[in-house]
Amino acid sequence: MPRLILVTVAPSVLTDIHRPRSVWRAVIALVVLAASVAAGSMRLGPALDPLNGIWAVARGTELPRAATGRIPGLSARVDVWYDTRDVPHIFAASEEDVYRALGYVVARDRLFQIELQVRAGAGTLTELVGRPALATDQRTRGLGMPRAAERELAALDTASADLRAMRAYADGVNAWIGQMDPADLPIEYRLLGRRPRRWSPVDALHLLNRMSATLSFSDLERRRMLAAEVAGDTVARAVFPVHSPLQQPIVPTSVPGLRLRKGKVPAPGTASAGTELDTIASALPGIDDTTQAVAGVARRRDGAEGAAGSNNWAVAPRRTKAGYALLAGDPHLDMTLPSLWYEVHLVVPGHLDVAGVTIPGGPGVILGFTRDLAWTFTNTGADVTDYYVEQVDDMRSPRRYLLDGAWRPLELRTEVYRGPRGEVLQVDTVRYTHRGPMRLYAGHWVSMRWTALEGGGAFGALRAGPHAHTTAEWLRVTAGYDVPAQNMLVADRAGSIAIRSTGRYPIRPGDGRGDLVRDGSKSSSDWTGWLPLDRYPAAVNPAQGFLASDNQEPVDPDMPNPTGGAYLGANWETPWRAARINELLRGDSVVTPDDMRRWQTDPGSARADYFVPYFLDAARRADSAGGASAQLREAARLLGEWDRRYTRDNERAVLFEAAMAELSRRAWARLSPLQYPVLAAVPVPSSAVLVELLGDPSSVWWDNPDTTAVETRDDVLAASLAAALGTVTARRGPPGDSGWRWSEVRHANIDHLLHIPAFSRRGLSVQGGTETLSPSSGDGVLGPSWRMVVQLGPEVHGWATYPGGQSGNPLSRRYANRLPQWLAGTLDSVRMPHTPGELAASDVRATLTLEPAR
Amino acid sequence: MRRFVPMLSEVALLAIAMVAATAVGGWWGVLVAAFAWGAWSGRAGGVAIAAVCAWASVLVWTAVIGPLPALVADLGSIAGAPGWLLVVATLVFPMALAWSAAVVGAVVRGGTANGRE
Repeated sequence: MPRLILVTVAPSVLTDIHRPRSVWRAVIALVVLAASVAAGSMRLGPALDPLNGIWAVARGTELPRAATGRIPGLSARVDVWYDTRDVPHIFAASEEDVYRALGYVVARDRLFQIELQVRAGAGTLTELVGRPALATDQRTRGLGMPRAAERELAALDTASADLRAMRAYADGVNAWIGQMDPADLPIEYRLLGRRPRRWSPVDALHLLNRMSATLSFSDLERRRMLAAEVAGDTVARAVFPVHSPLQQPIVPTSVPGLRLRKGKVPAPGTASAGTELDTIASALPGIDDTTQAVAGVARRRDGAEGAAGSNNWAVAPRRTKAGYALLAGDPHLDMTLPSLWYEVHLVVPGHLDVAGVTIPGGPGVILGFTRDLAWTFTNTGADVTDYYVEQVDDMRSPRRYLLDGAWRPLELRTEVYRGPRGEVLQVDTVRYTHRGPMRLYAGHWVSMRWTALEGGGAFGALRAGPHAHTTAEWLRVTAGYDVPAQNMLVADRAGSIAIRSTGRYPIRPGDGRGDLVRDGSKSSSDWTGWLPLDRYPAAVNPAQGFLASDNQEPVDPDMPNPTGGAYLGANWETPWRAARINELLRGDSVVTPDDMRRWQTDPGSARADYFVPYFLDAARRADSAGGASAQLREAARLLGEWDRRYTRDNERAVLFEAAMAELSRRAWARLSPLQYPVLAAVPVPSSAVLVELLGDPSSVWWDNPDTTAVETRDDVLAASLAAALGTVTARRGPPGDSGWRWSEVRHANIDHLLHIPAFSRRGLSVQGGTETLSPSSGDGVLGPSWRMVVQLGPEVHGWATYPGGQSGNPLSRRYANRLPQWLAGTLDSVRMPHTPGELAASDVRATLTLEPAR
Repeated sequence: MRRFVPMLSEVALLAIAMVAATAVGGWWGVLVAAFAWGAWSGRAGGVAIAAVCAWASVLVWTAVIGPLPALVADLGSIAGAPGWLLVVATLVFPMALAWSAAVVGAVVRGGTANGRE
């Protein structure tokens, strides 16, 4: 363009050559024009354009009072009423119409988020953000996730309700993309210089796969074998046991509280480093690598125990004040802005009437309630991932693998990674055995089998759930749910409560354990089937009158249970939260919805109740023996003042946490791979194993090999407590300084999806600490993503909130407007009108009328 | 004064045209409108001011109906520069574009491009 102007203008300039001033003026103008056009062409022009550029974002922050839209395929008009909590109530004539409208409505508020999340699951982030996402996409595709979604879609019957729902949702998203005003283009697209891409039905499956990866991928093999390399296999099995040494299972037993299993951590044995399988296991992808990969741009998860934890519980009518069943849901996940969840109410008269939260990009309500029942999930943490060492025909570029003495062809899938302009950034090949994707780890080809790659039941089950009317019916229609395994809690209006750890549990050969790398050259290493439904951990209307799950081991292996001893996994949260909520539930037989709400942020800690006396006793004994230092006496005095509650203003939790960190470090010092510096750090055993170790005061684990003295448990407890005081004082000043206040120590950090600080909310003071019902992790990234309480009376009543807001526009009033309420631990009353007319004019913030496209 | 009022009217009309041109063609609309003005009138005077007024008026309108100051602050934070610099850039850019395009347009027409033929 500038060259064209120059050519055109030059003759005119020459005619004015006798006027030097004009010539110079023209030359300057040409230079300025060329510079302006060049700058404008390099994204500056479109960005600064005040009508269509980045400034337009400020005009599209709020929903217009009344709006209309058109969606192809709608069978009739759909009315959407946004209440004063900004929740859309969608009234449609059919279920497909409701999903079309849902797609439209969610895209209207969260367009960038749904594309980012789906691309993370599809391994196509590079097409949005360019080369920096290449490694992330390679990991996602290397796990076989996009292939699995495509195969799942292809396997769906073209007339199936699931496929129709996915198509309808895609129609709605695309209708919004096609009709939105320039001001509605999310700011993230403008910053990246991109446009939204059109939606397709498979995207819903990419999204589900992403959730599966977040919640069902485990690295049990890796952590156990790392430990084996350092301290021997016997120790590895003991410090990373299949069953939690501390039991407070989901399925109630005759033991009301925590139960410590009989066990002992054996002395460190001979390291087993150097074996082929160990080397491979240590090279396997860690859970952090994987979740980071599929989360796309999400931050690394905090691997510390107690950093995350979902809770749910339900109370039978006979233990509630009003005589109606109560249910509380509290899933803890990555907290982001915009939020993981989007709150909706979907109504198809006579067919569907459900309120709750949807994951933006997915058709349907995941957690919520109807007029008859309510449901919520916690993650089971089942082991549904296994690894197999394969023998291949060519180590560099294998095309066949050996199985039972015969060569079988590998499926080769070419993966092309494209940049934002469609340019090819990278091409690689992912190989598949009959088990799943095969990758090269530590010089060995290892294939992976993972139920998430063989899914197909989750979407249908989640879609069917809201159509049930009783807990029994709900359990029946969700029986086909497969991955990620969830502790599904449900309560109904008739007063029934039930829970089932629903998922697809593979049955392994031999000892059945899934925390070992297996020989891939034999088909006898393969899974032999699936655990039948009647052996899933489950409980219906238990005698105790309540049910609770908190990611703990679902059944106590030493008590009668429905699983028949089947291996479900080995990645259980220590049941501290379970112990706390069970204690609260046992102690209250007139539970109110407000009690349920209050317990969601309860600052009490079963872990502190267990460990603090050990520290104080050790200090007292040391003092009695005349061996207590002044620092130890002072630390014990300070810790003794603590009420063991992680309230914002308490000034002692910081000392306890430091003491626990010291104790863990000292107790497991022998797992430090000093002699194997090439190894990754061995993960720290859980606090449940530490409890087991506490029961053996003279265990060799307590002895510090670097000293000549023989230390015992109490020596280590006392030393840990004294050291903790030194650490905290050094970091936060002397006791009494404001730095000791818990609100100065632990925070919630809710980052924007692209980690843009201006769009994030960090350093939020929260109540709760490690292993409380509202745990706060060290980096504050994980947390309560949705809090819900439902009372199932003649008229269902729900209360809820989440850390964020309905809009994805960082400038919108609706972007983070629920944060203050979430921080305070309060909930909003959820409206559930039967018809649009039930909402008073003052309760309506905006309307949207969707008509069939002509 | 006799010359000031018509000039003001001209600038106002040009500003309206610039808003319309931006709505139709984005930032290229400013370039095309200014070039056309220069080529038609043989003058570049006033067109730069009109372009600034046009885009400034849109910004003012945006500020009236939306949280523009917050956006300015956020963008400044993202860019690692004072937010007001972006506002200045938003006004300088159409000014430079419009003036230079109008001058070139006037030269193409055969004028002196200085506003006084």
